[in-house]
Amino acid sequence: MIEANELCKIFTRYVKDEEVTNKRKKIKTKKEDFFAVDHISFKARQGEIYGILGPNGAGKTTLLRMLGGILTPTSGEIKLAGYDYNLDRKKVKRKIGYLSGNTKLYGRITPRELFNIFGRLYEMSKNEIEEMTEKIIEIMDMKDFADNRIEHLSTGQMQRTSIARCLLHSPEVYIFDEPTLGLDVISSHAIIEFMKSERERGKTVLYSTHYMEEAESLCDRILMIHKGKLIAEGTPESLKKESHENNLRDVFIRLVKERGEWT
Amino acid sequence: MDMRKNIVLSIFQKEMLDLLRDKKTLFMMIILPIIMYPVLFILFSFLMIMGISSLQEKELPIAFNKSPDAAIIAKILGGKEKTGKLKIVEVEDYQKALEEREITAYIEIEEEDGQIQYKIYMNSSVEDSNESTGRIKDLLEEYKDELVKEKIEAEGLDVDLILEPIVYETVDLAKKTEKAGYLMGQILPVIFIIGILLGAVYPATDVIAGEKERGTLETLLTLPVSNGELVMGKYLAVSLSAIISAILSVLSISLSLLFLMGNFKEAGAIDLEGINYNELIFPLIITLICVCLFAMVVSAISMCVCSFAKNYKEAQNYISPIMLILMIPSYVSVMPNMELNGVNAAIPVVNISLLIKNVLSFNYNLAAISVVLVTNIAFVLLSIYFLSKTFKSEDILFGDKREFSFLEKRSNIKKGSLPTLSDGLILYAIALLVLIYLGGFLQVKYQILGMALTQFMIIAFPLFFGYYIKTDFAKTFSIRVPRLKDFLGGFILWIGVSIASLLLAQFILYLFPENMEVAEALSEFITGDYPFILSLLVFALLPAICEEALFRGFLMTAFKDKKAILRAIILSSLLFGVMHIDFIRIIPTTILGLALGYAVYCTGSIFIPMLMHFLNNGIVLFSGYFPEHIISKAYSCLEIDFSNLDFGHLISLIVLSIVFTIIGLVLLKKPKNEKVPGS
Repeated sequence: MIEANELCKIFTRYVKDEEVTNKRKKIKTKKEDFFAVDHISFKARQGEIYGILGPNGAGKTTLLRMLGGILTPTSGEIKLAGYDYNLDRKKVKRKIGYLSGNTKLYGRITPRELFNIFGRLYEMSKNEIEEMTEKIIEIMDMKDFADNRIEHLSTGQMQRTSIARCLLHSPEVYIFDEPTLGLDVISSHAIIEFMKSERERGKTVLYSTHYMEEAESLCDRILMIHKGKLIAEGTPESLKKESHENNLRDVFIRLVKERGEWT
Repeated sequence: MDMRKNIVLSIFQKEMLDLLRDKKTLFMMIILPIIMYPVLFILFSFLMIMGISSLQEKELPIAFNKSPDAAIIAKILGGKEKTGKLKIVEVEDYQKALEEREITAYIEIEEEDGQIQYKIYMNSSVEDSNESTGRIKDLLEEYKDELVKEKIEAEGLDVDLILEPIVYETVDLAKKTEKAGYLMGQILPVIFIIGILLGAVYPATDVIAGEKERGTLETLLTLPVSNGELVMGKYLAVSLSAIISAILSVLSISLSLLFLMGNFKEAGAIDLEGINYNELIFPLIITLICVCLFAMVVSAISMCVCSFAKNYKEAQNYISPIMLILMIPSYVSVMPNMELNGVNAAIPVVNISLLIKNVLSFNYNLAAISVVLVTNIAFVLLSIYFLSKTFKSEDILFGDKREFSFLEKRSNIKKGSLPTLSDGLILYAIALLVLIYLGGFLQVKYQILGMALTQFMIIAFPLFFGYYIKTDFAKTFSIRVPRLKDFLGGFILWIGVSIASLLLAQFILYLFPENMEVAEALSEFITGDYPFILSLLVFALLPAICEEALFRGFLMTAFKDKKAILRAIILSSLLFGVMHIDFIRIIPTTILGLALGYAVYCTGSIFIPMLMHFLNNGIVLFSGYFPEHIISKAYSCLEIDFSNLDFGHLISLIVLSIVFTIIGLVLLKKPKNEKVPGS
């Protein structure tokens, strides 16, 4: 179970500003603070896939990075199974399996070595690491390439290794940031099946995407964000019902239009 | 700074595994240093030999305006093996011929008042022309000598007596080792420093910018690992790579040199017999330590710079100018007469370069070497601080958790916060550098006033820092009225420990008599022409207050973080020892520091170590000013002549020291169940 309360993240961006004084053009760079994530609260329970939907630049990645303990929120609090992120950061991180397009793997080491190193960094015992490694190689069908350098693996094999990395420390919460982005049918199917099976095992899966159809068929509940703000939350059915639309894509378009933010 | 050792170690191992599998880094770190030096040296000596012999064998064409004396022609045609051959040719326009290099020199012979003048036209920008001019000069000189001799003999006089009424000879007393080292000492430091830079830059780029470029940084950040642990693990890996490549460079250089010197020896250019290699061992060890420290500084700097870069290319763009800046000062070793001394030993890069030069020429000065060691320790601490500072910025890599209070805006700091371990180390590094640079300058310029100012600087740092972090001054600086028993305990412990440290100091002086000069200069400086009260104020009271406030006050509290008392006492006294710079003083001062640290821990009062420190400095001054006083006489009983050892005296002093120390420790011991404020 993971719970966010009034979560905010402020970034600073530099904006070029033209100023005409005494017939002279001056270009100034101005500092400007903006909310990448703007007061978002929600709660994802055990045994559910919780989808975070929004277009590119909506703040999905920033939100998930904060939930993964990678970024520190500007304000607000997050709790995972009762543990506060600010107080027990390391305990919390041990319960999270985080996967995104940006979490690449070390090319020059083999999957088996990767599991060993990561296991030690998760402070698992030697036996635990060995046991889990064998188990994962079995489950993810990695026998053929477990001792090859990761840089020599195919894209599908790398993706499996990435998922295996998240599994290693048996986390309670999975955070997947656009896991199917740019993957072919087979690889993305494998990931979707993985999320479903982990839901069956009573884990919480947080998952962001901008493929609305995929989310509609997969998620138990959905959070829609736009420009850092929460615009809707609920089950796919309730969202569709409330806005009298047939699919999530139209729900999203309607909601954004209603807010006058459609450009 | 809660760093888990096994986590840091795991990160370090991961980085090493990753680095060692990268062919490019491997090449820069291991293969290049091994191959570069032999290839350079062999190429160099080969070219030298080639060049010399090819020029010697060449027949250089020259021309005359008219036929010279037959004896000269005979000499030219005879062309001795050693001087090389010349060939006479005919030319019409000598200027054109010289320009077109048909001839290498043109000689104009004129007769004036019975004296024959030989004018040699040559072109100094052409090597052959220089060479043939040299040969012609030799030849003419020989010819002249022969003519003179003939004339003198014709007059019936003694040739030797007239030509050489006096004879002189120079005898070079320089040690053979110095001569040999002088050759290497000039150019080696430069090559060597460049080697270290190369060894550090590649792993640093790979570990920081490479990680960003390959997109693995975010993967790493998903782990339950703190930023400090991450930086430290990576830093250890980069430092180790730099040190490995530095050591490989040393080995490779040494082997190449042995080879080269073997060649020279055969050619008779150098005489290597009589070098005492044992003399080299101690300075070599210190040099190796300094070089390792320098490699660590360079690693931290390159990592700092790389953390601003998004990818390899950017990292290399950023790092090249920095490396150039670090490289330029190393060229001082090439400057003649530049030697390591108290002043330049404190200049980074320059000091390493000169240190290597001096050690290679078997000409080293332990006091200056210790300054190199100490400044480099300070730079290591400082550069690690900046590294963790840059590595913490979220803009750079979404970091978190601040470990240095200094990085926090003052308005964000909670009232009454205590300094952390990192605060202590960084404050110490800054204070040490200021002490060496500014303090040294002040003391040279203003003498005793400079000493006093230095002490004020020492106390100013912890006070300002304490103010900045809104610390609880009473707690941080252990300000508390001590009990009477504490005074007694402190006094007795001081007697015991000061006997021990004095004995040790004398023993070290006996082992390293080179340091006698430093010790004498120091005591002369202290007992200068100042009135006793002034000396007592500046050399005893001020250090007691200021140094104790820093070491037993601020630093003890900073290092005590999580009640690691033993660590706090040992670390603060070690740093206390190092701050006294001279080798002879480091160990005895550290021992004194241990006692002072113990005293403040037990009593919770800074005034006890202040008293002990005051007594310690005061007694030295007192016995210097009033040598006839009974106390001074008692004090002089502590002097031991190790070269002519009186065992009974020594043993009785050791026993006395142990007894006093134990009584002192017992008296100071904290009563059970009593909570001492400030600990």
